[in-house]
Amino acid sequence: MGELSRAIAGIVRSVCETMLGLEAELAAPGDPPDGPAGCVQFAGAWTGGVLLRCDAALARTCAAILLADDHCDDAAVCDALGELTNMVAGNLKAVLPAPSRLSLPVVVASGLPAAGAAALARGPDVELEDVHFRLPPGHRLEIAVWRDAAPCADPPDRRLPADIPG
Amino acid sequence: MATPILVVDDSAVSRTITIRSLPRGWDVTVTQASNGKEALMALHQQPHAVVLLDLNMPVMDGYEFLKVVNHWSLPRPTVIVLTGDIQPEAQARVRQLGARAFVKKPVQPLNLLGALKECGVL
Repeated sequence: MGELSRAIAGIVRSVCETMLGLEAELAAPGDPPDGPAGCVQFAGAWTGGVLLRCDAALARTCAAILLADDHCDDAAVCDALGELTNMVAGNLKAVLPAPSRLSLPVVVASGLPAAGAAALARGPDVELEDVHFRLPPGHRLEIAVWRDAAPCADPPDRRLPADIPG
Repeated sequence: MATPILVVDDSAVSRTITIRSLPRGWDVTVTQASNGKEALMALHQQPHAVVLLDLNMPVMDGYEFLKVVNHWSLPRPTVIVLTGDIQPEAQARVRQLGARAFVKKPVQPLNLLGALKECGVL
């Protein structure tokens, strides 16, 4: 496991434990979780982004825990997932080359390819770290962090990786 | 008398977490705003002792909000920045703009309490 993957694992574990009270364990890559995805992009010394994808049940569980409400609507679920993505991206920014800026989080409800595949589809020169987690009781979470070959001065707010409809 | 607090974040989830993290038993009235522009309007309507401010927001971000507050003649609130971005450059920039303390997201009650004490609010 590389340095960046270790940083991703540490950040995800910390965010999950602190915010959700759930223990995130590293897992082998498998079928991508079939649920919503949050995306935050970086621009500057590091140009790329982070894509967080989980199964639909985990997304609802996250919203229920964060808002202390078992009956969250879809908007609240998207907001919760976006905020989790934002937390992961913000903490990740601290370990990436500086200076860089973050875009606002964007959440897509479902129907995406695997996060890693989506990042790789951006081009042949993209660098990718794709880390999978398992959370109790049997939930799946995937984090893909990529770096584009070409630097960019400003984050493309509210823009998703090239192959993601939305 | 209750201390008026303004929580500024575009995420309702994040605002909920922040409000939940305020010290228990502290007598406060909480106003919420979802961006810097709404926060400025809230401050114009009523002075707030403390602003708990996110940085990365649409419409008007935390940096722009701080720039405006830094130059106005109304009573200045104590601004505590809540952010996942802990790059030293970001911290230096917002402190230069008048923020008094940083709390790393995800916000934890003990860290927020420490920041409030650091600013002399508690």
